[in-house]
Amino acid sequence: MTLSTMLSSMGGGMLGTCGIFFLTILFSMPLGMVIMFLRRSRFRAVQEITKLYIAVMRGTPLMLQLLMWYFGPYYLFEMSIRGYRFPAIIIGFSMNYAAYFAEIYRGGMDTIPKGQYEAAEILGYSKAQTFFKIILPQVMKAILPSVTNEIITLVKDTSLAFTLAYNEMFSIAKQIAASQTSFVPFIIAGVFYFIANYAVAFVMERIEKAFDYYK
Amino acid sequence: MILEMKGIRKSFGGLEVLKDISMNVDSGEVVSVIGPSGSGKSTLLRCATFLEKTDAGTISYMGRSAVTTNEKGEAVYVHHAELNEIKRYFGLVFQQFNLFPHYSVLKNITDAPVHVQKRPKEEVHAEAMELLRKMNLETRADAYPCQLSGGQQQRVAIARALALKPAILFFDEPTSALDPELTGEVLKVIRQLAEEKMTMVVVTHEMPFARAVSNRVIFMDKGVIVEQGDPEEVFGNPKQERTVQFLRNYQR
Repeated sequence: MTLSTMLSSMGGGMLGTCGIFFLTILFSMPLGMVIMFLRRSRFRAVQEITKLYIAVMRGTPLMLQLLMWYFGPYYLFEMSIRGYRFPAIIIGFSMNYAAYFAEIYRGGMDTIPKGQYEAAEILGYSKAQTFFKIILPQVMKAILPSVTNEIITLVKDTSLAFTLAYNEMFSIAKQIAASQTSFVPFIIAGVFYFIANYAVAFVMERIEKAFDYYK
Repeated sequence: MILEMKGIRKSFGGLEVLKDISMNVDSGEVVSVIGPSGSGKSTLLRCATFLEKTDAGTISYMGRSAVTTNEKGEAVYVHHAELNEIKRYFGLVFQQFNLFPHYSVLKNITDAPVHVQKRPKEEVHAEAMELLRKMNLETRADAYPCQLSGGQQQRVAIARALALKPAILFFDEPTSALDPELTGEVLKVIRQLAEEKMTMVVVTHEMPFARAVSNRVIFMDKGVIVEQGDPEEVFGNPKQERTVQFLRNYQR
């Protein structure tokens, strides 16, 4: 097998990898916000349930969670859903990453002094205005380095989709490596992850710079 | 009468911080509230501005009732919409300034008038520049709070409060976070406002300032008003032993 055929079959897998990556970001970041609010709820029961959710999501392997999401419906309800493989991966990743993002957001919220809320209240801002205009922009600045970390981890975690036999780039690399008894596919995969994360770091650094105008 | 507070009581976990405090403020009056730390003066201001909920008593602004007391002696706040209307009567300047760090000086001042009071942008902008001139900060409109000294930040905070055109302005130890050199420039601005007959209540540790600028001084200790009256009376000829004792510490 030539290098170019290897590259082209792995290139098909990269689409899947990118799909997992972008869809997980798209769903998990807003969902993390919802979970963060539930975690800070006035109601003790809601707080506790959310804490348990976060503990389970962080305390068990993502690989195991993916298997649960995929095979759960079948073993629990004897449901077999056609074309469920990719959605199961996205659900698994999003639910897991949302838990991590929720904790990052919560840490960011804690960095905002009480005086910011009080000033906004005295000036007459509504609750929604206070959050979106005053608090959220400052939280975003505070959490950017942690978010960068999380996104970089996600790029590498996409390879876990092989658990559900989904043909993302790393699964294909393994198949080729086995059939061709070649190490080259792994090197290509490594280079791909590295370049992808280099791009992530580059973009995030730009965003951090954009927030640099104030302390 | 701009502000009427009667029978205000406030406890924090069994500790009674305000014990039956009453305070009225008339239009154009400048009232200084002095007293040792923990005397309840900041809590009084926070109750007056609804940052803290009073346990009992009544509060009204411009004759509009914000807090009443029910037959069980508990404070009852008017509904949300009316309370929001009443909140427009007052402004508050904080000890820690609490400017919004991600907004420029100008946006700190104009954002609430434009997005809360829904006033036209051009008009608000022009008024904000006028206020900055008054604060001697017209060249810093585009700066961010982190680029300003504490004294400058506090003057921006005063401009931000004034931009909403409150009927009464509260100051919670406005110079306590500033070194003596910067204290002067903030006090000068407050003095200037007093000359313009702005109604103000100032919680302060600056005794010479309180004596020179206010029409009335309130001395608080342990949650009660020990003595109040004309500044010359309170400072020059205090009637209560506790007041004498407190003021003596400042004459050294």
